[in-house]
Amino acid sequence: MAGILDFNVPEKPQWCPGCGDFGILAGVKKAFAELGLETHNTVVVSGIGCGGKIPHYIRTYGYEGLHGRLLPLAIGIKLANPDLTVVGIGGDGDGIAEGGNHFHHTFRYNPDIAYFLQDNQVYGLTTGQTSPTSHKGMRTKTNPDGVKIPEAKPVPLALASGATFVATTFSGNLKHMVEMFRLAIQHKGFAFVDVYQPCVTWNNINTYEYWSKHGYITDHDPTDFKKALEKAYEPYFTNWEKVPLGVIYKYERNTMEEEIGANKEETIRDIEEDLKELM
Amino acid sequence: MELAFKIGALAGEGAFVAGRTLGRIFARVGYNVVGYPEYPSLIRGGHNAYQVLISDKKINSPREMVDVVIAVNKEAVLFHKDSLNKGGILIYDATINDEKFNIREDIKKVKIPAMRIINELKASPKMKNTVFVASALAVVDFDLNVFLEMLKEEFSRKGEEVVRLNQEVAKKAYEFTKQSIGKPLLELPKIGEASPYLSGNEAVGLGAIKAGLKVYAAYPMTPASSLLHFMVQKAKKHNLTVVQTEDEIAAANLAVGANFAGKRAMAGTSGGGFALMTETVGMAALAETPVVFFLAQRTGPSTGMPTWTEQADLFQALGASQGDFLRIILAPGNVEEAFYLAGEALNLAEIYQLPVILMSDKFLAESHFTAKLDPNKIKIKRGKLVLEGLPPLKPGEKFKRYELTEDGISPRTIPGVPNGEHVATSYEHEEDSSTTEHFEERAKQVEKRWEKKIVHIKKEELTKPKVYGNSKIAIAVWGSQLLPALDAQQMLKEEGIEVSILHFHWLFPLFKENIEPIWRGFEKIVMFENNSSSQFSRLLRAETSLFPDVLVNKYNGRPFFPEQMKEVMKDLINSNFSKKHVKVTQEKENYEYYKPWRYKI
Ligand SMILES: Cc1ncc(C[n+]2csc(CCOP(=O)(O)OP(=O)(O)O)c2C)c(N)n1
Ligand code: SF4
Ligand SMILES: [Mg+2]
Repeated sequence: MAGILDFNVPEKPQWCPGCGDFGILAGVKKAFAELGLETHNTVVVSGIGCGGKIPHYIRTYGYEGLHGRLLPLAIGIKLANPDLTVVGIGGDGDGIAEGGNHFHHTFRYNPDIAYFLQDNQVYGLTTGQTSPTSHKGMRTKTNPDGVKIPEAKPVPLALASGATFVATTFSGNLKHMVEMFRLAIQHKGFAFVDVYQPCVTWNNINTYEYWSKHGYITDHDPTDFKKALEKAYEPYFTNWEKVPLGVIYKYERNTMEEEIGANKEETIRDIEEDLKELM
Repeated sequence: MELAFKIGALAGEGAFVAGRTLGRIFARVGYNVVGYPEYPSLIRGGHNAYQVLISDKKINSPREMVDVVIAVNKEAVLFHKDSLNKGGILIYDATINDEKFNIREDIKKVKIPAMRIINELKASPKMKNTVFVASALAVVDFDLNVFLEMLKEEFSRKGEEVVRLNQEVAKKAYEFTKQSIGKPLLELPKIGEASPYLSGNEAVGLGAIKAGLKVYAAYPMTPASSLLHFMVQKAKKHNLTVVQTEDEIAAANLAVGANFAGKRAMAGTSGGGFALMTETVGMAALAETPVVFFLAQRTGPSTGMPTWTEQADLFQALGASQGDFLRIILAPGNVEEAFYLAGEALNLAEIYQLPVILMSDKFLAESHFTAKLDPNKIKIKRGKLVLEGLPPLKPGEKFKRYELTEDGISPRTIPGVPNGEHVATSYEHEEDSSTTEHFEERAKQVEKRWEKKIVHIKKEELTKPKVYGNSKIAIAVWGSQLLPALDAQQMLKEEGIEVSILHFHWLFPLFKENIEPIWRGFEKIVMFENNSSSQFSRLLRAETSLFPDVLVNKYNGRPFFPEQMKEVMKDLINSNFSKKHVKVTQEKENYEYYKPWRYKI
């Protein structure tokens, strides 16, 4: 069993001082340690973005893939070896824009993977363009007069797509975030955590103060789908006045590995019989 | 002897099932068989045809003209009657009014009352196929028991009654045909042992399974789909994880992920889907994750003619993804090569830790062939994969996944192995997988991935083209066009003309040193490419400065027929190779039928 120090690397993360990704990194390592994960049996899969650099800062196995494609990559890893703990971590542009197709299908598949969305409502790495989750009215490089088009809704989208675990958290609340990460990793199935993450360089609306002010810990019954829907839509109905943080929804059904047969067995069988069948 | 049948029917009427059954029957008693399906991109309403060519000698490719046409509907009579050789037999349903069809005098007509036979026996109209297969067998005085046995195997899970009825229908149709033709066209006795009768895609599937493939990911697209279907059928028995993903990007990434985690995985598609996989090809190259892409070409660009064939995606495979990186591109020439090269592709990907693209095309992918395959020839080679015993790392240290070695290949390990922790990354990196923008480190990694590896790839015996025959005049081909070339070679021989075949199954990287000595052995080389712009010849010139004497292109959606290759070669030889470029666009057959909506008959 590994302790938190075992997940450390000497490398300093290349993020702006104050970036919410530092909190996420600390939270992930803490959750891994608390769950007693082993470094060699854990794989952190990311895409491309500021947050996508995270596998380099955790000493486990990792795959830093393509922008938007971390979910199918993670599924491939999980199907090939279901004994591994596979955690996907990526940005809002990565997951909701470029990877939007994979995003909603992965809820249907329900692989036993945890997925943490580094949701900073902006494109950090590419210097501040509009993201699908940018709030209406926010001024960005590509919308200098303010974003006109309503934001994408990752949490309602997850629920509509058949999610079995959806949670929200804020990277400024380490304790809460670690708890959400732990529950997500422990959940049998695809567990999605929308992490509100301040980007101190490109987003001066959704700041630490903003999330501290609007976020509140929800204590609704997460097995109640109607209630979950209500909570999922609350930020949009209240124009982000009230943002529930916590497990929004949870239930269990078979995982993708169980449904389509993950690959446990190494034996290679003969094909003589298959050739005979073709005669 | 050689005999060609063609079954024509309305799409959905079962020409392919009947055709494949007929092929299997002959394959069972030792004949060499080629089965070639043609169909438009429609589910109902279009016309389907399946040619079954049989011989006691090795044959490889369908013919322009056939000896027996089996017309299930009246369109089939109209469309195929002129594809019959002199004295050929036309079997068709007795209810078809043939008055206006102008059937040639030399053609023997067999009007078979399919529905009457079925109704008399109170059988199901679905058994129409049985009527036509049995009738075709009668034409060659073939032992009906082989078919009766096959019906039993096929239908026994549907109950004894279905078996019995099918057999009765077959017997009646067989007797009726025999009486109506009088003397059979030929007599075809049993001549040998059964051999498997399989498609190029099935060969790829079995070769890959034998080589330890465990994950196959795809999004449906003709002509790769039949491999997906085949893998689904084989999944339980061989413990395969077969995933129909939401798109090709997912399929490609899933395959890379599975390979990273240690299971051999492949993603399959056609050109349109491969366009979507492109970015992932480069990722696998940079991260040095082994992976095989199966690319079954069809007629492009864009949606093109989805159910027809072409060899025009070579440059797509070659240029897939940004950046300079090494990839291996293979193109098997027949089912045997499809089988062995599928296994080899998985080996090469792991040995050299790079993407391998295995190219097929509609013609090879979906046609059927009898073949002798030796599964024991497929050996699994996993290169520098380390699965245990890695030395302990210092705290915070990562495994040197991208270690600079003499041969450019670094030790590789997989998640689950202690002390192997590292990041596979799409960013440029240093030896320990950390991201770098250090100029020297970057240069070293580039050299590692290409220059250093290629020295060793060059030594692979597979990189050399294959020569068939010893004439100084060569038909040069790549991939599936080996099939018509082999038959053209034989046809020319029968007319007293010797030619060799120079076949390329290894398309990239090309090595002048491995090709030139062979190339220089010929006085004239005629390159036949199933595309319009001679992609392979151009690649060859760029890489080796060798260029064929004559280019021959066919790009109408069909493969070369051996007769066409033969004619082109005869013309060239007779004219002392006065032409530099020949195009083959005309067909003998009346192919107007692929526009069914234009016909009112
Ligand atoms: C196919 C592709 N398109 C575009 C890019 C450029 N790109 C890199 S990161 C990024 C967006 C980053 O935003 P997000 O995913 O929200 O991550 P963040 O930087 O905010 O953490 C883009 C557009 C890319 N790498 N690949
Ligand atoms: S740009 Fe924003 S998201 Fe990126 S490192 Fe800086 S603060 Fe973090
Ligand atoms: Mg972002």
